Amino acid sequence: MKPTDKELDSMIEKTFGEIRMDAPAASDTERAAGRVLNALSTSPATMMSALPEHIRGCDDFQALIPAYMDGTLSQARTLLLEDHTRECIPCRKALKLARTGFRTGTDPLTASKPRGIALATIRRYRWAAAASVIVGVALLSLIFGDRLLGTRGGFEAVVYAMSGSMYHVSESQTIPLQTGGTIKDGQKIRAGKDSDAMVRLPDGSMIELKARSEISFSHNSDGTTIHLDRGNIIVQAADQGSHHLYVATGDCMVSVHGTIFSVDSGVKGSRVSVVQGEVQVDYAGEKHLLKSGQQVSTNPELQPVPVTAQVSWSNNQGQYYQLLDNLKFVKKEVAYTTTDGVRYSSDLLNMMPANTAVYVGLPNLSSVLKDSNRIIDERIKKNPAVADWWKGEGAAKRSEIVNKIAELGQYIGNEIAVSAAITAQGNPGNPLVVADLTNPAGFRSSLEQQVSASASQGLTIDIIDNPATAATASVNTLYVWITGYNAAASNSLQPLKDLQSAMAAGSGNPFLTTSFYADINATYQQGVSEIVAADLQNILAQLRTQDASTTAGQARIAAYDKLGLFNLKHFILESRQGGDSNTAAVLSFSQSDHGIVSWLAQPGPMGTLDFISPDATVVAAFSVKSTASMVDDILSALGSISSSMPQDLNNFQTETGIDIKKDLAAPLGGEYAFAIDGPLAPSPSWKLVVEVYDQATFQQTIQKLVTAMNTQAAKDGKPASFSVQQTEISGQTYFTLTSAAGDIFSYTFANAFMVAAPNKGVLANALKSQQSGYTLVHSSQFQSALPSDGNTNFSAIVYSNLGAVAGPIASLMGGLGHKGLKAAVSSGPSMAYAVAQGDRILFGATGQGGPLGFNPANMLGLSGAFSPKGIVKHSL
Amino acid sequence: MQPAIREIKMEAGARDWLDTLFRDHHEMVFRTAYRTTGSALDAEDVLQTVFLRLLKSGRDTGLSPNPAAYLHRAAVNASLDILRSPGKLRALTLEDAGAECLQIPGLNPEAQFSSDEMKLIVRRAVAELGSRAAEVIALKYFEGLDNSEIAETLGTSQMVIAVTLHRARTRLRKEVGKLLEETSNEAYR
Repeated sequence: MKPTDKELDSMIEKTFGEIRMDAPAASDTERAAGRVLNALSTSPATMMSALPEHIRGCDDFQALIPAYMDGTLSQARTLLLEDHTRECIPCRKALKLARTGFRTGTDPLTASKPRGIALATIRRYRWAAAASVIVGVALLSLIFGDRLLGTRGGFEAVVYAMSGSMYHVSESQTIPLQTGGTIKDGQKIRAGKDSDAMVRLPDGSMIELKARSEISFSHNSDGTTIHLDRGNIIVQAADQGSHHLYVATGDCMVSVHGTIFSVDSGVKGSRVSVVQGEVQVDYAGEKHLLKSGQQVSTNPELQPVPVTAQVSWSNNQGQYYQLLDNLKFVKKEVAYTTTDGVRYSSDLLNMMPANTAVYVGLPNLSSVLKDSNRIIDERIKKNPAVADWWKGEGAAKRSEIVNKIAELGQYIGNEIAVSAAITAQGNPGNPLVVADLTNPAGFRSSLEQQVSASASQGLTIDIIDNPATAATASVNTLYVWITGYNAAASNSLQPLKDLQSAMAAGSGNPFLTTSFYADINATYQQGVSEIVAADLQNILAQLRTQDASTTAGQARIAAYDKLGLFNLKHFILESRQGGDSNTAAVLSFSQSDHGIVSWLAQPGPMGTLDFISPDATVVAAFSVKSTASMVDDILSALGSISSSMPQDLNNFQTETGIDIKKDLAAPLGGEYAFAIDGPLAPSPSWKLVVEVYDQATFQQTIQKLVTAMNTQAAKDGKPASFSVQQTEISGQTYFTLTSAAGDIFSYTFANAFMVAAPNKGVLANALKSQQSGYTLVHSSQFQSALPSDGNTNFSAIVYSNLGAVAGPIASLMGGLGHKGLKAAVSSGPSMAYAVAQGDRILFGATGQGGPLGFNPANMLGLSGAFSPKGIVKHSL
Repeated sequence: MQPAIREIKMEAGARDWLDTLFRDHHEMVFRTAYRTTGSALDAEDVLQTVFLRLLKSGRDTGLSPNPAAYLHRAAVNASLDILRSPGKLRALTLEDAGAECLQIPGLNPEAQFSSDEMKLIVRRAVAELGSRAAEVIALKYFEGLDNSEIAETLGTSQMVIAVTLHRARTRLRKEVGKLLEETSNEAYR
């Protein structure tokens, strides 16, 4: 029985529907695409891209022959080749050989017909070809080893997706790279500032690059190695079969099969974190096997951070978080070494009244308590705005109360909290000191004994049981309220009453809902010894009101607003180990889209430091998100201070023909460094290193500047003798700005950086440092100055090692040696640093304040930032 | 005498365009090839063939103004080529289809062939049509394009497409009937 036409039609229709629903698995698609991309890049037809860029001799001509035979050679080159082979006998022979015997059907791909490919045949040939190649290669590799294979062409990674910018960098030039652009064996690429990119390897592995990371590839028979010069990458390794995928940083080697992991390489060392699968990390002669959720760093000072934090910048963070979420143990992996007095939470913080504006937490260590007032004073001083606000009588009372409580240290728990509220008028309230009690009875009896002793010193101590009902005394009284296992003291009843209601509210305490509380609590979670926190938003608002009464004050307010200074939210200063040697301060901002907080880039690699030698005396390096928007903010702030500024600026731009934003700021990248590196006499050997993405525009700007200088000189009746001289020394081009009086300074370009110095000798030294890897970052004195925390990189650092230069000078001066100078010689290197983290900046310092007296507050000239009255004068 | 040597700058990014095309369209090509051939292995071959041809012929051939449409069509044609190849035709004689359904003859044909087998038969039948007819059928019924889109892709009018489709359907019906009979008979033997 045969189906009717109608039955057939409906069957066919139904089958069509099913065929339309057929869809390949996404993994099949990706795998197939990876293989095909690989095949494409090794196909003879692609060799076109391996053709010599310039034809310089017979070798180059002969390299064109295969493409000529394929018919893929461009018309112009075909003509050239034909022309050349008529004249040149060796090349004609080579061509003849190619025509007769060179390729006898060994290329199944070009031999295939466009229609009706006999696939089985191709597959067979492919296998045969592959087999013979494998045998041949195996023999050759036995003889020549990896060197031969390493130089084999065909490896090509592709920029799969990117946001922002990306560059090919080499010694001589920087070329922008687009999506779909290829990266060959040995080529170096760098993701631009504020950019990220996804690069795909021929095997289908994906590499995600964080902003300003720099990588290159090398490929040999064993597999592919990703060289991470610096920065942070996340690798999603495809199944490697019998091959390997490696990631090499300066200090470790990671080998993988099919995994997802992150490698972060910075000034402090490298950190490898695994999201999924297993990797092996080799460093310092040891092998470590890491499983998902685990992490290893090459420097013990580089403390663990959650694996999630290592992939938080990724576009695929959701996927990684989910993978990591499945691992319940992840968080426990992150354990910090506990030092005496370090606390990870505070019940005292939780009972603070809602109007708390300054909070100080100190460990109950005899060494600290003895000195507690000095410690508090010093910490407060680091933020002039807070010091300005919390001074006078309130501060004096605070010392008195803290001293009293400190005397009873043996009865109290592990922490003492000192706080001050902000009043409705914006003034500091009376100080409040709170402590946990380990022995309330002992505390009470010991305090009672002191009542009479204090009275003789003119201080009345009033032990109260309920602040709400206690009577206010008329004389100078210290009220101490003992409740359960807590004691609180103040010179006024109001703070105690506020504390009482906050404690009664328990978890409903309104203070717990403030962002100020959240910031302090987050700091505790990382472990603190001493902590000082100030709610700058409220404190500054009060200062702002004061300032607004005068016209000059209003102009200042406008300028601060442009710089984002009134967006300051909180200031938190903490020290993890205790003492002065390792402190950090966090400034958080209520708006992160403009002003200072928006300038500094997130901590990232500082390629600029590669040009600085270990002997550097002073180094300041920083990275910004966008030079252009920083310039914008500064110019508009200047505009609101001085009404003539915009006009002056306009005049400058018209006279010189330089558009500051377009010609000067735009070609620049985000990294800057300035160093005194080398002999100080006869003139200091300074170095300026600036990341430059657009060399051509930058050079034009310099040319315009020189022209403008000559014009100005001519106007002043001086000879217009400024010019830029170009010199080439061993392949490197140096530019020197000269005048009739001699050379002014020289500069050169290397690896997408412009390096400037007083003369070519210093420049050559800088390049030598960079090429040899004999750099500051790798020196022991620099490493010793690094803080012990979880940051691989910084947004800004100021490093000083005056000992390196002051030593010789001090000995020259003999007995006349200056005291300060001697102190400088004896103190080691010191460092101040800043780490931008979204809406906050962390400042820190190591070393004993440093010979230059660095501390978190005056770092980067930001001392002015905290003292609003000084900033305009100071920074402009 | 040394021959004159001139220098020519190579066209920058000679292959960038291909990588971009591949990235943007490989999924579509692979999906189309998979639908048409019904096999991931064949689809991979199609993907490779399509882009290799493109690589050899250069960027200007046929790609503009609509690379996606061009690649779509190229994928369909390369897939049909694979279905037509002799090795494939043999493979299609139901060696890989489940045999149990075929052992009950004489009933409603729909019951006798599993949907996988029907897909094999229809794919093969389409491949047996003339190349133009096969292309139009695949674009219309496998890929779900409407007549105007097909007309645009093939650079012809909707009228021509409608006529081609009508004739192709008639031929396809015959072809499917023939294949059904052949396969049933083969199963008898």
